[in-house]
Amino acid sequence: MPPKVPPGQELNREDDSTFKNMMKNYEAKQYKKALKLVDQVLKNNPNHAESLAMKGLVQSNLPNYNKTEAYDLVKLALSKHLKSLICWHVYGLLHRSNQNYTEAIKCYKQALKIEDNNVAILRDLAMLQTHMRDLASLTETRQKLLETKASSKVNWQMFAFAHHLQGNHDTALAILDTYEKIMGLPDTKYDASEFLLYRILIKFESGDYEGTLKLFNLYRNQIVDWDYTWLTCAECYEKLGMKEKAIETYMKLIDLNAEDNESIDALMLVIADPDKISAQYKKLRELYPKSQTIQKMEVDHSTGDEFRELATAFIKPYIVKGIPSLGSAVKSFYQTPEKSEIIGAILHGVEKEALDKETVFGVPTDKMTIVWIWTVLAHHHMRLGAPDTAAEYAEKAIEHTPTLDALYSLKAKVLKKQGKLEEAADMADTARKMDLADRFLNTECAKYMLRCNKFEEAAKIFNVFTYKPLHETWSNILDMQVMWYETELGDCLYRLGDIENSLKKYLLIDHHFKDINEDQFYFHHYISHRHNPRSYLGLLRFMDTAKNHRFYCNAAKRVVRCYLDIHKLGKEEVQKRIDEGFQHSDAEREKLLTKEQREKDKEFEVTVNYDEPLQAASKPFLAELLKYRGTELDTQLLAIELHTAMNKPVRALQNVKQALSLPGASSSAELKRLTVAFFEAVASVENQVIGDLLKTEKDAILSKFTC
Amino acid sequence: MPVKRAKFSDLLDMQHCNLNCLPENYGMKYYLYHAVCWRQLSYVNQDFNGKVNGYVLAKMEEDTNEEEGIPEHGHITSLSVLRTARQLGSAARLVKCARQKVEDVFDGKYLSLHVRCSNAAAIKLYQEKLEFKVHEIDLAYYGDGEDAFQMKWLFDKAGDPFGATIVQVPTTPEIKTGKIEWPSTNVDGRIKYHEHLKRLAQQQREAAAKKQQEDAAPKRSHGRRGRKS
Repeated sequence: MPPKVPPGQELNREDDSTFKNMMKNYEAKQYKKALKLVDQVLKNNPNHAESLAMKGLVQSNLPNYNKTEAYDLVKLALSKHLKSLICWHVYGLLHRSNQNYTEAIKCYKQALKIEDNNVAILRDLAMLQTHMRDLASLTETRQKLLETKASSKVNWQMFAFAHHLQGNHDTALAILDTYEKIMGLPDTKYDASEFLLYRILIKFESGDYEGTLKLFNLYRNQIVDWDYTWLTCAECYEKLGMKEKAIETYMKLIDLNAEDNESIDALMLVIADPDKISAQYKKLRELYPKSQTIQKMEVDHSTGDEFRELATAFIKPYIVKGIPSLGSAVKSFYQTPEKSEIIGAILHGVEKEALDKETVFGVPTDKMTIVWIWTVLAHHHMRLGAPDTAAEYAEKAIEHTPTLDALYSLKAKVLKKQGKLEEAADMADTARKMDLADRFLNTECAKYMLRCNKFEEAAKIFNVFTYKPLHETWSNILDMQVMWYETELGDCLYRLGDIENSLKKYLLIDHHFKDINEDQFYFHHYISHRHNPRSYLGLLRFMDTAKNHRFYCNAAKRVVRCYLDIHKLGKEEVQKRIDEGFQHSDAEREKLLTKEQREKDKEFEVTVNYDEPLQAASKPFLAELLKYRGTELDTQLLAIELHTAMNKPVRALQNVKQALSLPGASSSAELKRLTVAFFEAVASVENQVIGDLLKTEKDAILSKFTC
Repeated sequence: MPVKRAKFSDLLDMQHCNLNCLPENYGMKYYLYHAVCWRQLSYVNQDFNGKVNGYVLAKMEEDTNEEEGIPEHGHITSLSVLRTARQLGSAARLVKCARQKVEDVFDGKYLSLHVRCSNAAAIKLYQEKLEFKVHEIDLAYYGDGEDAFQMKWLFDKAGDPFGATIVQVPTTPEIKTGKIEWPSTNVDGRIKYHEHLKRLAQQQREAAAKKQQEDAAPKRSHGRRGRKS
C-alpha cells in the first residue's frame, strides 16, 4: 500500500486532472505540451513535489536542456515528498538518461521500498540490471514481476531467461516447462520454433547432449531453423563421441549450404585423419560440383603433386573467364615456399601459353585474357616481395588496355608497395575518375590520399557520396560510424606530428563502441514486445565481446601509443594544432556550423587525459588488448613499455615472458630493445624481493634472444 | 566463396562493406535490429581469406495487412558486393540464400526490393538471373532524388494476385542507345515513362495471353510449321 500523501502534496480535482493529462502527454512523447501543463499545476501548487519532479524529467527530453536544473528540480521534489513513488521513479529515469546506471538502480530500489510490486518500476529495474549484467539481482526482480503478474507470458519467459543467464539451466528449463503447460506454445510457427529451440539451447549449454538430441527429435515437426538444428546435433554427437553420426549430421548441414566453410571445417575436424579428409573432399566435390568453397578448401588441404593438380584446376576457370579476383583468391597458396613455387610455375606457364599459342589450358583466349593474367602475376610478385617486377606487369596491362579502371587500382597498389605513396594516390584518383558513380573507387582513393597525408583532398573525395555540403563531411563520418576513415585520419595526423588530434580520432572509435553498447538498451525494452530469446541472448553475448573486433583493437593499440608519447613529451610539446582543413579555417567553419552541428560536435566530444595518460591507456585500452589480442607480439610490446613506464615491474616481467613464448619473438629486435630498457629501468628498484627476482630472471631471459 | 548466415560479430564488417559500396548507410543499431528480429535472413559473403566482401541485409516487412493484399513478405534492406569481388555470382547467391529463408523460416509470400532505375546491371541481375519482376516505380525514392523500381519475387507462381504493373523492363540496350531515356530531373518525363512502361507491360501481357490461347487451341496441320491463326 502506498503511504499516505503528506500535507501540501494533494491536488484539487482540477489540478489533478491537469496532472494526469500531463502524464498522458509525457507518455505520448508530447514533451512541449507536457511542460506547459506541468507549469500550470505548479503555478497553483508551487510545492507539489511530483510536478516538480516531472518538470525536470520532461525538460530532460527537450533539446538543449540544462542537466543541473533538471537534477535540482528532482532533488527539490524529493526533499518535499521523500516517500513519493513518482519522484524516485523520475530520479531513476533521469539518471538512466544520463547513463548513470548504478545511481538509477539505487533510485528504483528506493521506489520499490515504497511500493514493492510496482510493475513499471520493476520492469525498468530489470532492464538496468540486464544492462549492467547484475544477473543475481535481475533474477530476483524477474521473480518479483512474475509473482506480481503471473498472467503475463513475458514475465515467465524473462524469468527463465534470467536463470539461464546465471547458468541455472535446470531451473530455467523447469520454468519453461511450467510455462508451456499453463500458456501453451506461441501462436505463430516461427515464434513456436524459436521457443522450442531456446529450450534446446539451454539443454545443450547444460551439457546434457543426449537430452538435447531427444528434444530435437521430439520437436522435429515444429522446428523451422534447420541450420541451427543440424549444427547443434552434430556438436552433440561429437561431444558424445559418436563420430559417425557427427559426420553424417555435418553432411546434412553442408547440404543446406555447400558454401559454408565453417561447417566443412567442423566436419574435417571430426574426421581428423588427413587421408580420410582428402577422400571426404573428393566426395563433397562430387556432391556439390558448383561449390567454390569446397574446391578451394580441398586445394588448401593438399600438398605436392596433388596440390599442383588441384591448384591448376582451381585457377583455370578464373583465367578462362577472366575473373579479376584471382590475385586475392590464391593468397593462401603462398603459405609455404614449396606452394609459392608451384603457383609461380603455373601462372608463368599460363602466361607463356597465352602469348605463344593464344590459348589458356587449351581454350582460346579473348582480348582481355592476357590482361587478367598479368594482373594476377602482379599480385604474385607483390606477394613474393618483388613490387618492381609487379610494376612491370601492371604497366604491360595498362598499355594493353588503358580504359580499364581495375588496372589503375592495381598500379596504385603496386606503387604503395614500392613506397611511392603520392604516385599511388594519383593513380587511385585516375581509377576513381573512370567511374565517378562507384563508391568503392571513391573510398579507395580517399584512403590513399590519407596515406600520403593529403587529408583535405581525402575529405573532398569522401564528401562526394555523402550528399551533403563539404563542411558537413565530418558530421557524416561521425554519424555513420565510418571507423576506417577515423583511424586512417588519426594515422595521418600522427605522422604529421599532431599527437593530440590523432589521439582524439582514435578515441572516437571507443566512443562508437560505447554507443553500440548503449544500442542494446533499446532491445531490453523491445524484447518484451517481440520475444525472441535466442536472438536476444546472441545480442547480449555479442555486446560482452564486441571489442574483439579489429576496428577497436587497432584503435586501442594506437591510443596506448599516443598516451605513451604524451607521457614522454609532456602536454605543451604535444599540443600542436593542425588545421584539419575541411577547406575552411576554424573561424570560417564556426560561422558555417549550424546549431545542429554544434550539438553534433558536443555529442561526439572526446577528452584527452593529460593528467594520467598512462592510467588512461592501461584501463580500458591495454586491458582490452590483452584480453582479445594477448597472443600478438604487438600487444605484449605495448604492455611491456606501458608497465615499465608505470613502474610495475612484476607486470612488465610477466609481459616479457609471455612475449617470448610467442612464435618468432626471440628474433624480434624491438622486443629485445624493450626488454633491455625494462631491466635497466628496474635496476634500482627499492623492493628487495622484486629486485632479487629480477636479477635471477634477467640473464635467463636475455639469453633467449637470437638477435 | 564462403557464404554464411550473418552472426552478430559480422555486423560491423557488413557496415564497413556497405560504406565502401553504397551511399545508403545505417548506424549499427539498424543492423542490430535486423539481427535480433530476423537473424536467419541476413547473409555474408567472404573472400577466401575470411574478409567480408559482400552481404545481404533482409527483413520481414512489418506493415502487412492480409485483407488489403499485403501479406507477410520479405524485403531486402540492403545488398552489395565489393567491386573487387564481382563476376563470381556472389550477389545472386546471397539473394537466393535470403529468399530461401524468407519462405522456409517465415512463410513469406514474396520477397521485394528497391533498385535504382538507372542501375541497368542490377536490374539485369534481378530480372534475368533471379527472375524478379518490377511492380511499381517509387518516384524520388533515393536520397539524391533518383527513382526506384520496386521488384518482387513471388513464391507461389501460380497466378499473380498482385497484378504486376510492369512485367519486363527494357534494360541495357535501350537505355544505352538513348532510344528510351530515363529522365531523372523532369518529373513529368518520369511519369510519362511510367505510363510508357505500363503500356509496354500491357502489350507483353496481351502477347503472353495470346500465346497461351494458341498453345491450348488444337493444332491444325499446315505443313512443317502451323500458320498462326
